[in-house]
Amino acid sequence: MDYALRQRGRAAIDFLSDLRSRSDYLEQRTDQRAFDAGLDKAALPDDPAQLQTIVAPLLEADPEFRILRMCRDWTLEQHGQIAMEAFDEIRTDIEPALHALNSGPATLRYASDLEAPAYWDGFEFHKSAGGWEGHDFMGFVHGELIHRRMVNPNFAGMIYALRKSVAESIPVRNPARILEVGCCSGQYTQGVAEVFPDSEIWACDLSARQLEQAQRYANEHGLGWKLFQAAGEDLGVDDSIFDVVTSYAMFHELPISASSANLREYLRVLKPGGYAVIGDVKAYHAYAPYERWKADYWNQMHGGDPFWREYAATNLAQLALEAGFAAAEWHGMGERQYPFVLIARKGAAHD
Amino acid sequence: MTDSNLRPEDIDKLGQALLTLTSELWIAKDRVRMLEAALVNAGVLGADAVSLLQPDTALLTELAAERARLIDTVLASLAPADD
Repeated sequence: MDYALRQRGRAAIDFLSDLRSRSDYLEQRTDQRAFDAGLDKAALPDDPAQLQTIVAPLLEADPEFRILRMCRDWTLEQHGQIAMEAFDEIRTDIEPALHALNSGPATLRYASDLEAPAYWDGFEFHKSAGGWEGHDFMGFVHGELIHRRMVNPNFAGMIYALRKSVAESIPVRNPARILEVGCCSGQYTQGVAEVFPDSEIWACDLSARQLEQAQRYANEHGLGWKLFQAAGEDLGVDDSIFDVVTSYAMFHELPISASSANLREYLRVLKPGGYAVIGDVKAYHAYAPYERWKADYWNQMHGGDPFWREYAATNLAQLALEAGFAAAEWHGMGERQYPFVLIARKGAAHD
Repeated sequence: MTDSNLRPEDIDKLGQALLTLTSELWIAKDRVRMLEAALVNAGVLGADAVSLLQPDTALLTELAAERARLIDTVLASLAPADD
């Protein structure tokens, strides 16, 4: 839907986004200075915890690295608050339109007895003030103001194309029914719906506020998504009803025990021969050690992503096979190997 | 590993950056206030007109360049090129 921010909110968001991108040169400069000082990339260990003990002290001794970290800390710690304040400036302008979009072809079923997992309940992922639920329009705040206006520019405007590329990797022709788990405000759901316009789209999330934004998007575009509030570990739907279960950028937010439970639940709800397709951040084994250190440092150690390392250092294909899938592969997409995609097939009745 | 971004030896740079930022901020505040007063006095704008204005593409481009200059100026104080 169309909306216009006020001057203060727009300028604050633009400043935050530009500070993030324009301070990046310090990363290259401090990398180079560490190499010049004798850091030998070829001699680094593979283990991310060991990498932290070796590399982090060298970089943190560089004042410019600390300036870089200060800039990134500021953007992480301020972005949620800035986005909520930008919304509140225009609330009276757009609230009627947002309420109107509650009606339409998309349905939303709330869970009356939801038991939120400990890894999710009250946690502010990415240090985003308010988390997923801390504002009555947090779905709009997160989906529109944070993702579209702050995050997307720092992915060179490619964030939606990356999501859609995972949907395009789903190896099923004309699936009748697709489930997306962890749909948040519906950004990957949009990609799935574009790739499979004739499929019935179901999508769930733990966050009611994010699901409400997904519903508004679907209603605005005449899409009959079936949205429901549930954890991926306990979907609360019948066995063997989906041709595809998919997700994007959710598994790195889960402890591995929850990822395993998710995969077992996907197996239950998939039809025989159906596919689970899981897109997420790059696996650690696909990085050279120094780059792996950087991914670990900025996400696991300083990014508000406490399970990033657990996810990125686990072989997801093996996890899927252990969960009971008949076949599984996990690979990076394209030259940059980003995102990583797990494609796991449930055995057919005759397997 | 340390938890603090800034250490005592960074304080002078922080002071430089703060003054640079304050200078830029005041120039912008002064300009905005003068412009608003001039336009309201001339009967061109209502009191809320600037807050409600939506910039067009050309103005957005100009603002982006100015914003980049401001950020680069502050960062240059914190991390000079020939440090």
